Amino acid sequence: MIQQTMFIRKESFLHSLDPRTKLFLSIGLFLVGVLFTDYRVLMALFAGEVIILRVAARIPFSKLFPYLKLILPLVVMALLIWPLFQRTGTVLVSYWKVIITKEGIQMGIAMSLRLLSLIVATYLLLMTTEQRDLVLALVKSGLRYDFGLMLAIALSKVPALAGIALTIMDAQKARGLELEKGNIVEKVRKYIPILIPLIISAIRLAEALSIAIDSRAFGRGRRTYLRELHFTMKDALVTGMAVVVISVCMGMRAAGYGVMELP
Amino acid sequence: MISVEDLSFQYSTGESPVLSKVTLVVPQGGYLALVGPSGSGKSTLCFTMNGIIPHSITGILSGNVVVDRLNTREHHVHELAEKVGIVLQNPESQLFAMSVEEELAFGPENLGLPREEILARIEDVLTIIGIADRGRFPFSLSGGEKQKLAIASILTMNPSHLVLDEPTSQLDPRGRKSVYDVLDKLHAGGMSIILIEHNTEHIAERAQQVLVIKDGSVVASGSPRDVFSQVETMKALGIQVPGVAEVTYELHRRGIIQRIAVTLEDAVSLLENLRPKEFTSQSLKTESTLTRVGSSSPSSRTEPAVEVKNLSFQYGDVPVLNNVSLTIGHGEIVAIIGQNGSGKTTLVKHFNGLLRPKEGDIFIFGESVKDKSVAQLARKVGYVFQNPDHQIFADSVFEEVEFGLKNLSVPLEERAERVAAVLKQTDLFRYKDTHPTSLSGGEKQRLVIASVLVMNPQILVLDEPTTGLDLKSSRSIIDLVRALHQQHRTVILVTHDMNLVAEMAHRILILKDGTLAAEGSPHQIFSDEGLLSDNFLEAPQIARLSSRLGYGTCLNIEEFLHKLEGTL
Repeated sequence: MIQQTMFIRKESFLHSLDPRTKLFLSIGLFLVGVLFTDYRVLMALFAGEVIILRVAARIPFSKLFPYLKLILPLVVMALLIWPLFQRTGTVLVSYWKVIITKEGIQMGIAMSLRLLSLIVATYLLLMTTEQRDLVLALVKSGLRYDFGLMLAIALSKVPALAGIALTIMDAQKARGLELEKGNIVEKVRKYIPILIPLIISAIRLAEALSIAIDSRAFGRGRRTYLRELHFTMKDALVTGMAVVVISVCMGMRAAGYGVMELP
Repeated sequence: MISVEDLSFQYSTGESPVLSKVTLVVPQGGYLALVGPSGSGKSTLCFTMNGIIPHSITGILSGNVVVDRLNTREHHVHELAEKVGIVLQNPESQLFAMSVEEELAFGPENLGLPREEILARIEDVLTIIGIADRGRFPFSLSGGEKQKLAIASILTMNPSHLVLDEPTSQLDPRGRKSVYDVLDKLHAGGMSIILIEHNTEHIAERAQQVLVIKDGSVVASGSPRDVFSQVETMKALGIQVPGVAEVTYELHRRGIIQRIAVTLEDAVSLLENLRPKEFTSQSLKTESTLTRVGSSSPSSRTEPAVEVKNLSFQYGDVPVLNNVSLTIGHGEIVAIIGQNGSGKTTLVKHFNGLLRPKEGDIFIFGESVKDKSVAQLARKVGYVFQNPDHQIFADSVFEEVEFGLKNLSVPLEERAERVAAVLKQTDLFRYKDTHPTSLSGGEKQRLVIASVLVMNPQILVLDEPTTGLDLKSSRSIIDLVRALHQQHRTVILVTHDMNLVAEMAHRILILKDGTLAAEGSPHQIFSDEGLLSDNFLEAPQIARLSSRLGYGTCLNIEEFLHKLEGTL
């Protein structure tokens, strides 16, 4: 079954925050992750995010892990590739043309932790915020409503389109199409009989959707939002704290802290 | 009131008018049914009623559509939304929110209504459609629930007219019934209903007024009885009249009865007096000997084409098939029926290897499917999927059909020969260089059958081959399938269309909750009322008529007339 949303319904501090606050928080954490290159700082950041998720959102690591697995190949790649290219510094292993340095390993760890913390920063938002609140937050922060609606519809139609894609694949397989066989070029060509009907179906769906949306009085003028956003004291506090932390981080970074010295 | 005056319309991309000089009036609280073959302009007419035409879809419009004194030329769709709502065929293309509540709120939110009012309206419509969980993701609802939600999302704008374009054509019988129950409720509450529907049996029971449209013009109109009594005219127009109308027309023609009935109740009361009272019980007893007529080749006599042994299957943790065993004889026509979610598709997907048996096994002509690829099985089992648009991709009809042979690495000259032969058999040869997307619905259906047939499978699985097709197109599919069967092919029909089942099947398999609930001849199955109602199925109208009159279960007019004449 296709999961349509990462949202996990819980009664928690983070869930109760205004989606705009969470959006800001998420961007802030993202920024911190990009600022520093020291593996210790990034490790602290990653650990901090996982703790926030556990304590403030009551989402255990086990729920996060399946989503982390998705980027695991990238993380492992960062971990392996950085040491190979960082050839100066304290040499640990030197064999034939391969030189592995302490700095290289540290850099590998740092970059994989950076990837992890950036992704968890976005997950923090997606796992604690319903998609409609997210879209509403964007609209209330100045995004045009029709763009917000477009985003919301795109998100809601993912499972339907995935379902159509699976049906098309089955129909073409029943006509003898073997997707697994052949080299890369042949494999890509084999997706043409799947992509064409999928694109046509998507266009048809979009045409019908536009009629349905028009028929439901879209574009009448001032609209009500059934869902209200409440920016409370709590949100002000969290946002304030986030501003302070981000400023401090930027100051420290400007002063040269938290950066890995490479020889 | 909706009044359409002298309306003509041509799409800006079209070459000829789709509607010409259509005039009709639907009074407040009326019930109008629109019938006509595919491409006659019914859907276009619907789109003119809430201003989608000419505001969202442009073209050349003449004449007027006036909804409660608002001319649709002068008032935009969003103004008309509070007067008239429109529901389309495919629920998937009308739902776009992440929850039931949002879906229902979207319309009134756009109208700018106060929050309390919106919540009150949502509360009201939820009780009408019977969906309790307003947080549910619409995608996860059943087909019937989705369509009811689409209707409800219109209702929250409080329109007084509802236009529905084949709202149940993609639903299973249970979903169909639940949607029609909602429409009945709304109509009883004073809502006008304008309905496009192929099922004239349904229309005859409910509509006050029927309009027959062909090539964009109104060719007949009146009460259902007026219209559907003209059996020959309707047939010539390509419209399937109710089964009882056909029977009573034939009896009327022979001078046995005085008039034609179009509803089951009316037909029963009309024909009841013809029957000697004591006949009922006798006829039921002799039924088993009589009903062998027409059915042939029971599975035991021929070699098995498909054998399913103790098959179980789960999607994730959800059990879909539970220890299913069955045999389909070579040369049989078998119908697999049951509600959506009963496991029909999951079962037949095992026949050509799209799904692999995890528990149990399947044998095709005695060979296990376990070590065969889908491509290998494609030479033996042809699986024709439901929606042609979900597989047509080539630039010409010829290439479309050739695709399967290319995949099977058949040499070029042989390919050309085989494609040509199949195109001739499916009556598509004259379109061989045509772009497949420009074919009509019935032609597309024949094309997808051809593109599977070209691999020369001895077993043919057809998933809903007649759904959404008009009378003429479904006849052409039925004739084609008959011809294929006569070439000694095994045909497996997966369908909700009981008329198709009654007409074609030698044997029926009913699936329920992943198990084989029943199997038998159409006569056996369609006379078992308990079994049918347990599975939300309804026998063809003629079978219901004959059993109500005590003639046992008749599957077609000839059989019915034969029985009736025996008693006269």
